[in-house]
Amino acid sequence: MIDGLLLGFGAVFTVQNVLLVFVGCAAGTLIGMLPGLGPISAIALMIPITYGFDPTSGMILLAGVYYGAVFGGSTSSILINAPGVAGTVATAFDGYPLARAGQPGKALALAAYASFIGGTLAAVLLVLLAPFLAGFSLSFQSADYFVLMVLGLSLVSAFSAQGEYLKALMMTVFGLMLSTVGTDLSAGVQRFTFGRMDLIDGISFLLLAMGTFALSEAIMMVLRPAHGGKPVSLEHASLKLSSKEVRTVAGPISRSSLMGFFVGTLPGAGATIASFLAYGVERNLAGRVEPRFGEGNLRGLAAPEAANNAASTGSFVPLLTLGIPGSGTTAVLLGALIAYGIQPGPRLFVDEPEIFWSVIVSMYFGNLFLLALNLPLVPYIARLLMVPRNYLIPIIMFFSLMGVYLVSFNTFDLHMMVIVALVAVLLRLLAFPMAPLLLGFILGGILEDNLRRAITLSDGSWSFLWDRPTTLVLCMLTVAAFTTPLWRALLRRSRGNRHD
Amino acid sequence: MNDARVGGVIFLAISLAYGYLASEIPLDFWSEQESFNARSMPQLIAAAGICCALLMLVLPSAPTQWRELSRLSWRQPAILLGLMWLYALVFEVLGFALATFVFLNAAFAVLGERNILRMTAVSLPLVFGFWLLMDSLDIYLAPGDLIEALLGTADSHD
Repeated sequence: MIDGLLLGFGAVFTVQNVLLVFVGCAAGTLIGMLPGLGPISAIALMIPITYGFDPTSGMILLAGVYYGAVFGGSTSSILINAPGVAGTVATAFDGYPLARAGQPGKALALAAYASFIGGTLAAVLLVLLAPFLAGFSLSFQSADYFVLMVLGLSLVSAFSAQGEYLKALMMTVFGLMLSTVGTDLSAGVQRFTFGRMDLIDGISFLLLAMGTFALSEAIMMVLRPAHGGKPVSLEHASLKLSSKEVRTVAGPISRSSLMGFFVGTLPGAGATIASFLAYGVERNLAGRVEPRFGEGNLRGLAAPEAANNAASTGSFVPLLTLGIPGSGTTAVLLGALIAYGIQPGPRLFVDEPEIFWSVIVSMYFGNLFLLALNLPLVPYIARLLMVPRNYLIPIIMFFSLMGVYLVSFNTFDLHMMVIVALVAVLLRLLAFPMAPLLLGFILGGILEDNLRRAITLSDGSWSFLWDRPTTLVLCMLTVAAFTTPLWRALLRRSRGNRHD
Repeated sequence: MNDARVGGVIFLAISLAYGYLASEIPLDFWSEQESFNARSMPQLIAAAGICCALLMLVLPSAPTQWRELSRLSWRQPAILLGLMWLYALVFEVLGFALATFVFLNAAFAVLGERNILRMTAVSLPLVFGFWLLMDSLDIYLAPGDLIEALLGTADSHD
């Protein structure tokens, strides 16, 4: 292993490769900041440029682009509540309120530190555990995935205010409903499209995320001017974290990095579930804290950021060891590797050790360069919030609309987005949370695929839920996660009746 | 009636309608025999929705501040939503550059900006900067039917 690492360091440490990491991080950050252009688009756009390089240099550039785009996505989530990709939705929950409270510099810096630590810890774990984890990820079956997704949905309690659990649950079900719109790929049947061609591919995640978060937020800023938050001054662009704040986030970052890495190694689970899980766990562990989760809590920002970066690294385990892409981004990277004439899989470690180790080392350096490049820029990026509100709001609207248009090139999506934004504003005014809607929507498709597979494999029986110990344990955790908040609500009601 | 109860009633109606539409999803003979088909997941979701809505109607929830909501001024948000709708409507006719320029300036004006020079100084570089960025990334933004008709380039694209 030491020999391999030295081989990787030797391959990465050339002037050309160091420059490539630097350029990749800068380009990735810029592209990632634009709503609609996440890591997948950023890497896909850069692949043709890498054809001129040898495979090692190409992968080094792409690793820089990848981490840059992930950080760029977090930046737009934090500053304008516009999560361009699913993995950064949870970042907006506390990142945006923190920025709105006049501390955008601190929010961006904390996101950068958490991402760096998450990515670095995950890179170390990747080196140590990759062969073992490849076996573990293969042992996970459809039934386990299905229950894991339901457990993910049970996290809605983390996004609901006191006593509003049912509202969150309802929004989750609404999100699941929206996820079924479009063509059912297994049978080729159209569902809930009402004969419209525009709905055949379903509703895009970006449309829903931009409508419910960015656009509805812009409308809320107009509707309730105080909602726009404190004005940002130059001193508020400060990156400094006090030693007390560092102690507060150290635990959540470590826990979330570990969790993110392990979830990331499961093909299909990825950064989104990891970040939601990390947020939910930290909220439940934190108890009553000030500021509350959802109102600019530092742990609420650090946890999903560390988890999504660690999961991004974790998703390289099935790619490098089995040749299975665990996420959309790694699928594009797999395409790049194949284009270089390299076949990832169990033989990669033996046949192309330089590539294997240089990818791992370049992931670490991608993180390091990202931190070095972006921290000095944070105060300048944070000044975006100093733009007067009568200019900032239309600009947010423009970027949100264009982000969605650039994916489909269909103006029907823009009309739909306006309707989604209007409904989202009404629901938000009535204290219905938006995060569970997105969570249900994101997990809906994966949930259905795995349930279909599990039921088909068990000949139509639901016994798959208790046939294997892993599934049974996950089932018990899920039942507990769903029933505990309901039980609390019932207890409150009986107490309320007694007081009456 | 508080918002949770109103929400419960509306969601019950949505879930029932969704469940009905789920039962209308067309299936061929073989799919109908399968243990899990295109209707299965929507029917499970509809059942979950009905349970949620009923629980919402039965269990207690916080009272709604209806008075505070009625005090909100909807004029500016309504105009902005209308502007976005119009932007989507004319986007393909006027093209990216012109439609965006008009949309941005109109939105600035709705939010209280009156200095035309300042509005143009913000919107013009934004429109062309964005167009240049997209162009450098090989993402094509059409000039619009109107411009193409005026310049007589429509046929060359067909």
